[in-house]
Amino acid sequence: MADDKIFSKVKDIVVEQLGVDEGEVAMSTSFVNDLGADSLDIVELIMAMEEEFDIEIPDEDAESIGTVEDVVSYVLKKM
Amino acid sequence: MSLPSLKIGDLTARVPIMQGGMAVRISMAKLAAAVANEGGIGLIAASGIKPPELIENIREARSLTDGIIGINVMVAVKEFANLVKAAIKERIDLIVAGAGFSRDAFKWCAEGKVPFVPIISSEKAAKLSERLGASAVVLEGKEAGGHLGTTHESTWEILPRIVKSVGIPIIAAGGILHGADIARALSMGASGVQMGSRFAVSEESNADIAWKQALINAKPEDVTLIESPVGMPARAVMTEFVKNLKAHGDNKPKIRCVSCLKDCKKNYCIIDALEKGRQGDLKNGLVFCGERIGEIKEILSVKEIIKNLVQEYEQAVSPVGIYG
Repeated sequence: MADDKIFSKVKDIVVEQLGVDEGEVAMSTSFVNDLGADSLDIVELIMAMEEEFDIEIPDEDAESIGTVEDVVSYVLKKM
Repeated sequence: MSLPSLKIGDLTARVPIMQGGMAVRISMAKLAAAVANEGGIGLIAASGIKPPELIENIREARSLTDGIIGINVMVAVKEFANLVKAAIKERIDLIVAGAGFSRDAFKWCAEGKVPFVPIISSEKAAKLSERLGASAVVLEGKEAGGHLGTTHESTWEILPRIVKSVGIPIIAAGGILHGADIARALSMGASGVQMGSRFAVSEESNADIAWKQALINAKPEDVTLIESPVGMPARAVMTEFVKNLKAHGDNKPKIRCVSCLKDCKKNYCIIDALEKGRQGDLKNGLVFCGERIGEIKEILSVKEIIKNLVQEYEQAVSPVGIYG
């Protein structure tokens, strides 16, 4: 899967999970600082990513994910 | 009417009272075993210690009781995974975890067939916990001691919402001190309660007498909220350490940092401050407590504490009682 395809899927999930506008989600967007997500939002976001991309993201890896770009590069690495 | 039992997974506690896990080294083998011996659930505090010390305490507690023994551990400590795995290997009865949310822990506990009980302060966390397979949740309101998930919502405000949100047992915590509080929690749909402060000031609690005396002497105005390096607010007694912290914003100790937290704010060393407090060094130490600590006036044995609670509960639910 190409980067932009992954980005677009990640964006869809973020929009749905956090209830934000598509325009607010860019590669550099931070879930906490830019979108106001709390730690539980992040957990739910990570779970949705696991389901979408059929990968497993353990706590240790999840704890280092802060931005949309972090998710995209993690998915690329795992797929 | 006598107290109902508390069921968590396959466990049944004759008395629906869980002793709150109190770190560092306040609730260890002796306190946990004493509570378990009275029919409640005893928790060994695992935060701030290493797996070998935890294992030693689990084994000591087992030698003292056939009752229910669990551990309490903060997700925020770096040793979290190792402590949880060590406890599962020791065939611990249950694992209670707060100060963070770990999805991995649900998996490890499910594989090890150990009930996992997250500490939560919101419906969102309660629902997510149930969805991930939690055996029960501990609901902590703002009245609780130590690290707090909320500083503005009372246990009594949140409890009804959690009761509506999930089907798993709910253990109410924060501001539970007397039998009447237990009666109130159970009447609102909780399956049990967790109590910290009352057991902190017990004969079996593993703190120096000066630490216990600081809690007995504490008046409501001596209790304050501070920022913990864990990244959460916490409730503590106004010791000299806390006064300095409030005056300067930090309190750097002269010790070697072992980076024990996953993400430390480094305004002071939480483990060092709690351990010094426990040893009775109130000048350099931190003493955590619940909001109602001012109502605790004497050091009692666990046996007396639970006997009193059972009596108070029975009085509260009797036809002339207030919650009958």
